Amino acid sequence: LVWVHAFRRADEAAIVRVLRDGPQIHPDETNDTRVYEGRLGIAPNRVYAYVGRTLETFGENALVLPPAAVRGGHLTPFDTGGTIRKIRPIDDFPDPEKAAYVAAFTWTLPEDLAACLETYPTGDATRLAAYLDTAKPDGRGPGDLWPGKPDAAIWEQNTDWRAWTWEGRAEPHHLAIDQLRHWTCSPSVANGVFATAKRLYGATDRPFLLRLTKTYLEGGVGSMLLRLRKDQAA
Amino acid sequence: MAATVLGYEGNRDARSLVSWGAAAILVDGDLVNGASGMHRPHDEEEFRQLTREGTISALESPIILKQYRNADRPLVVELALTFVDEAGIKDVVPRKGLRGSSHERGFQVYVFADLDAFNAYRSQVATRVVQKLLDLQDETEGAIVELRERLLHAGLTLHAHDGVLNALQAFYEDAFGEDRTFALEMAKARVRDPLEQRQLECVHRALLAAEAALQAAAGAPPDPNGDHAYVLQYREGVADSGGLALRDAAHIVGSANRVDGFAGEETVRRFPFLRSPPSTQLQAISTGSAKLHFVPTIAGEPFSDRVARYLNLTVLQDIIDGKLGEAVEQRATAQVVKALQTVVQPSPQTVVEHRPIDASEYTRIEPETLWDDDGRPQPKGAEYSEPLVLLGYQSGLLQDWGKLEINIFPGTRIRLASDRDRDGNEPMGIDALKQRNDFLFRPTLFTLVRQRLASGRRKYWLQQVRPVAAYLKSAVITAIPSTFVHDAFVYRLDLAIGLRGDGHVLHIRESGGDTVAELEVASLELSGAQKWMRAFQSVCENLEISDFRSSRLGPVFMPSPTALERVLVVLQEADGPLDRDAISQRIREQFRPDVHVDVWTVVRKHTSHFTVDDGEVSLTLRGAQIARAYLAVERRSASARKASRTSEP
Repeated sequence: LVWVHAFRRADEAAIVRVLRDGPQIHPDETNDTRVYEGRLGIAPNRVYAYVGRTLETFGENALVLPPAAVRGGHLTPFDTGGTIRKIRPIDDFPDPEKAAYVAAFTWTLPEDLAACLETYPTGDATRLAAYLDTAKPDGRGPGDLWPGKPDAAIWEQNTDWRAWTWEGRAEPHHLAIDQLRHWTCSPSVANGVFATAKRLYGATDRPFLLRLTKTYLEGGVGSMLLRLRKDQAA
Repeated sequence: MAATVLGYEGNRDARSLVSWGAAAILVDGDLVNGASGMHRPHDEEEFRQLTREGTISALESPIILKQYRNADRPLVVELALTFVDEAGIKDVVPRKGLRGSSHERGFQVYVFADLDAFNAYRSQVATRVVQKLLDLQDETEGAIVELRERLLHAGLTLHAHDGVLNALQAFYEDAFGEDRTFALEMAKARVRDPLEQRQLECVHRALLAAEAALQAAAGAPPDPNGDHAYVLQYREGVADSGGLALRDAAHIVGSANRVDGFAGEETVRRFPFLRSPPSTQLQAISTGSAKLHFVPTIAGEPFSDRVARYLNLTVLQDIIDGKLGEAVEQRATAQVVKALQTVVQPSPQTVVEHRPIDASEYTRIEPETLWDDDGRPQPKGAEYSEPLVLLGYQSGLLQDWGKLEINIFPGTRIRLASDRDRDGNEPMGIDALKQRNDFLFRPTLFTLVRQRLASGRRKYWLQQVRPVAAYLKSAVITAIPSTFVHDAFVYRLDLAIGLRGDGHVLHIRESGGDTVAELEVASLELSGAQKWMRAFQSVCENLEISDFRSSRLGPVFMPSPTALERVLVVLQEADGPLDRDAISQRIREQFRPDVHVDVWTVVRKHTSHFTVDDGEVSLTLRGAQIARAYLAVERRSASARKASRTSEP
């Protein structure tokens, strides 16, 4: 399963920089992600992705990395930020208990990746397809799959797929952005992105320009998700 | 169900003349992404927020879709009316799959049913944009440059992977003095389809040649011996005196003219943006050295004509070289085929060489396609199967009875000529069929011959067509498609077939023997045909796994075995159960050392094929039957390949 990072940027140059240099830590300390990291004890700051898919409806830009491009970081079978905002019942827990719950369901990348995915969604084609389709798994919560871990009914009590989708988080330097597999943006913006990339790096980084061109998927995030679902389910 | 398109995914860039994206659809209170199909409860405030953030572009006037199914993948396209006007596409209307449209804020809005429908429309638009850009190439005003950039930008926004638009993009960058090689490399990287990539390269060369012709000295005639000319040279045979007799020269040139007419049609088919290529320019005939010189561009012509002339000549040289044998087979008349034979082989003793455009060396023409005395194509390495009588139904009629579309198995549709069989005669039964108005979806026996073309592709010829009726002595199925290997057949069967029960039961029995199947023919409509065809598939599957007396006809191209097939084969050929590591090891030994198969995944996914006992896997009865059926085809295919190799010179 691939690493899918959706992002929003103010202009084409900023999009180009993400695609060339990789996602970066939000510079604003008051940004929600950085505040939540503090409350959950996640340090140092990370960049985030979902494994296999991303936001289920609409987005502007997204990039896809193969598993081999993630050389460090952690993995959790739900959206950690969601434990602060809306994943019940964890969102009602005091912060130290939230942090303990997240820590209990945190594994290390890349060494634990295969075992994690073998446990959930498993190699079974039907279960994998269900995962990619954001179907809610059977059971009360991830404690059903990992005995001995804290038991909370986060699957039973939530309807948002982020309660049962793997979140990956890594420090920016752990992501090999030169292994970019796909990226997408709104079709009306794409030509501007290419032109900007050429203006910025035409003279200095032609391998990047070729990579950018070859990995572009037209149609936006929804189309990319459709393609990823087919590729990964196969 | 009814649905409403509220907008589309993505940011409508205020500077852009064209925007498009997956439809944002309101269905039963849910907001649905038209591409991924994902739902979420619709929240108006959230929708407005997504619109403000540029994640969704909202339509001022939502468009109601009268018919919508969950499997639909609609998308929205907005074209600025200024673009519609400047590109001259007012008359380009979607031919199919249009689900809704409107005008708003100076934009034309279309909702297409799916990507296929959108692709058809944007190809039409891209063709017009290319025509306009080529026409503009002869204009020199400053404003033209801006118009050209606008049109190209809009065209590429609509169709980022179009080969010709990307060729133009690379060409303009050339013209701006940038690195030509890199510009072309970038353009090729944007185009994904191999055919479009070849088209891009052809058109790019044509654009450069047309540009070079313009830059050449005004009015100076092109050098017929220059590298850009296409030269045909004859030696021995009709040219054994070192030159050509006028009569032979006239015969060859006349034939070349006829072939050129066909090349013109083929050029427009391959490059739809060309209106009509000018007749190929024969610059010189050197009767002394028996050479014909054709030039690809003429300086004084409009730019678009120069491009067309160049492309036409490349198509002509490919036809002469035999590279377009399939096109000749399918579309050329007998007269064109004869003329082509005259050009490439005016007499058996004549050696014909040519020097393609931009090449420096002459190469001997050894066309991949040869023709017999009747002008019938006989591709080298062609193989014909024996006639196969298959049960199926006709599902379509194309080109006013020029072609039939038939179904011989679920998911297997074949389009084939209805006006000639493999020997050039009208297939038997076609005339009678034309008299009926109830031929569609009716159980029918089709006698087909499968041909393996030199290109490695396959082609079917219709020999006879015969709707199934009450029992007739000769109504017999002799072949069934393989359930396990696409394009393979079990044949030399002898299954009598007829309709019973007032035409509502398709009865199949071994000739003179037991009933094999009774299939209900619920109706003579598509749904009825699909139903009995599915039932027939299960009959075929049972026959294939139980009858090994009949012969197997392997596919024209045997695909690499799937993970399941590898595991089945290894276990079938093993003496007993094997554990996972042993299966993996044998797969690597038997197939390829670098092949990795996740054995447990395969075994868990196909529980009816395998049993697991104490970590060891063995085949169930059904698994063993399928393995045998697969191996029967695979071995037939391997022996056919071996025979084909040993028969090669």
